Amino acid sequence: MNLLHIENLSVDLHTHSSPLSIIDRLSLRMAESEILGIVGESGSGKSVLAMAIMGLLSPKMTMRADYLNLDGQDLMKLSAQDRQRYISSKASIIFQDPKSSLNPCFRIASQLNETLSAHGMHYRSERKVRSIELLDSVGITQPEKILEMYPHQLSGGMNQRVAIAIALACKPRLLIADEPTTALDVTIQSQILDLIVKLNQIENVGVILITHDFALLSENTDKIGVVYSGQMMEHAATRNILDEPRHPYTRSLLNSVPQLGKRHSKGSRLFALDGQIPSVDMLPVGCRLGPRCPIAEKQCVNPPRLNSIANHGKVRCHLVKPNTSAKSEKAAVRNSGVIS
Amino acid sequence: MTLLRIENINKNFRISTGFFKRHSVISANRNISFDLEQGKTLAIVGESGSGKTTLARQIIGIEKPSSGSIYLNDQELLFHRKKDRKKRFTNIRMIFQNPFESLNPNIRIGHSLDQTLIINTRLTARERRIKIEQTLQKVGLQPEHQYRYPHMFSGGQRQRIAIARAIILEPSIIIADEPLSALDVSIQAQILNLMQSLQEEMGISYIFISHDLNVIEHVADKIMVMYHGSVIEQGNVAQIFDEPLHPYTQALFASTPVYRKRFPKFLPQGARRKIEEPNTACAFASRCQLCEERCSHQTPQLVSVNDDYQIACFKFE
Repeated sequence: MNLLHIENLSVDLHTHSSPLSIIDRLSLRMAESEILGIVGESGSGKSVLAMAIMGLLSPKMTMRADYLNLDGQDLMKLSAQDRQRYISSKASIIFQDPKSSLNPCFRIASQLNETLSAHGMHYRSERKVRSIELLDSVGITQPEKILEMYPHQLSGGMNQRVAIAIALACKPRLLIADEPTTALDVTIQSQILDLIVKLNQIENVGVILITHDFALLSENTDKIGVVYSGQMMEHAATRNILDEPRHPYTRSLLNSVPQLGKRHSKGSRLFALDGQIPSVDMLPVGCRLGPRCPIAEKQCVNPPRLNSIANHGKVRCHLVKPNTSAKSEKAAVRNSGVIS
Repeated sequence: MTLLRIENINKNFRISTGFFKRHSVISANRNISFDLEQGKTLAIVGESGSGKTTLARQIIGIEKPSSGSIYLNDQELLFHRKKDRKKRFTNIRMIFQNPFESLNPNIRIGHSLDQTLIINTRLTARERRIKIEQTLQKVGLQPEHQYRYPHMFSGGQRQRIAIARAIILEPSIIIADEPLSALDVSIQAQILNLMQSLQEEMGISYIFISHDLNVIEHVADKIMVMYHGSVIEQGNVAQIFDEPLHPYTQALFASTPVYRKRFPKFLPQGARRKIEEPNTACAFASRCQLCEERCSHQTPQLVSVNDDYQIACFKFE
């Protein structure tokens, strides 16, 4: 059974002129206790996707979906209030900067208490026991001491652990981590990532890991979705994406990161996509990658559809034929001399 | 040819611990020495709070070193001598981390670049305009962009403007303080390529501060690993990336996803020690797996293993 099943989710931003499409008919499926990675540049709508799933969109945005199923319940059929209550018991979210997601004026204990009592723990003693349990489960060594501290007394990594503990308070089935490690140091980064993976295995929580860093996703995720300008460009298993990326955008993203472990001769250049991600009020006609795409052709002025590719996954590109292998495409691309 | 030589730089900050209490001293940099050669790139790696930026600020002359000396072309640069300051500002330029904050939002790009020229050169207005147009083209922008304000540009373009402002005086050294971390992945590659081609064209030396190991392996010739204000390992890229010896460097590699496979699982336990704490032990001792008894009451010194490889750890003395 799917933990999360989204069909054609669209999010529009209402401005004084016409509504702008932030996310355009995005579909994804996620199995139970799977780790799904979402990659994209800033402005590609990956955080809005997280907010839409959580039902935390700003009042200026509206969402539509054919089907939005979270753990066996179609959210689109619930009233706004019921939906909010249902989501808050099933899913939780961790944000990028732990310093700004915790309230600096309150002790850790009271911030945990707030969430716990919102989820129906009415006795103080019960809450205290559960808080210590939660802090313990995220690898904090002296939970009693930490409970009495304020966020500014803790380091960034500790604060992120506390934020994860708060997110776990409702025993979620789905944990959305929106760039959980970007604000942290490298060595702390891997500790937090290991913690998230451990929680996924022990507590059986499904995780959506949103990031712009392929390296972070390479080890831990089961599937990766590549988002560009509000559309899903490629959605496939991690190994398929990393070994044989089919969409030109995925390929250029992977090429623009210096390859780890490969020694670079002095003066070698990285592949860089020209230009930048289009702003939502000036989307190009047809394929949204079109103007930046290194292999664009005439037919790319028509919007491509997300096609299923045999033995791979789903790709949104005219030039990726469902039955060809990645190798023949790569050869064609190499002949055009654009991507090495 | 050695362009820049840093000898035994120390930087101490006095911080207030309370109203009636005595000031306490924290040392942000301890005994740092290195050489930078013409046209080469030195990368400085370290966690936040390890003193990378403080070091950069002393080289460029924003901050006065508590002790130690800086030589440019074998001539010492003194902090207060006016002639030296002028020389320093024209020869060493800096690119900052966040292009959204380093450009003045109230003035046009052209004016921003013009001010650099007015202060530091004696060019006429016409010559300055030509220079600005040339420089903008060099960094991949159009000459007409000089009439625009910073908010009209995207992050990548702004970083290009910051680079233009750094290279307009044709400096010999550019200090880039995390120039990529505020940018998107596909834009990062553009900026990195630009910096590399400028280096080849103009023979600039870079001091490249970063915590991203993939980028460092791509651009650097030499690496300096800093922890807690002191250099713990220093050497060529090939040496350090093939066989990092210091436990902290190994930990750094082990926490970068793809490198992890190349190195045995070695993750530092716990958080970094507070910088205010007294300096009698190896700074990494509390997190180190190879920690011995003497690590907790002696500080290891930087020793040369061979010609251009140095390490500060008791294991290699």
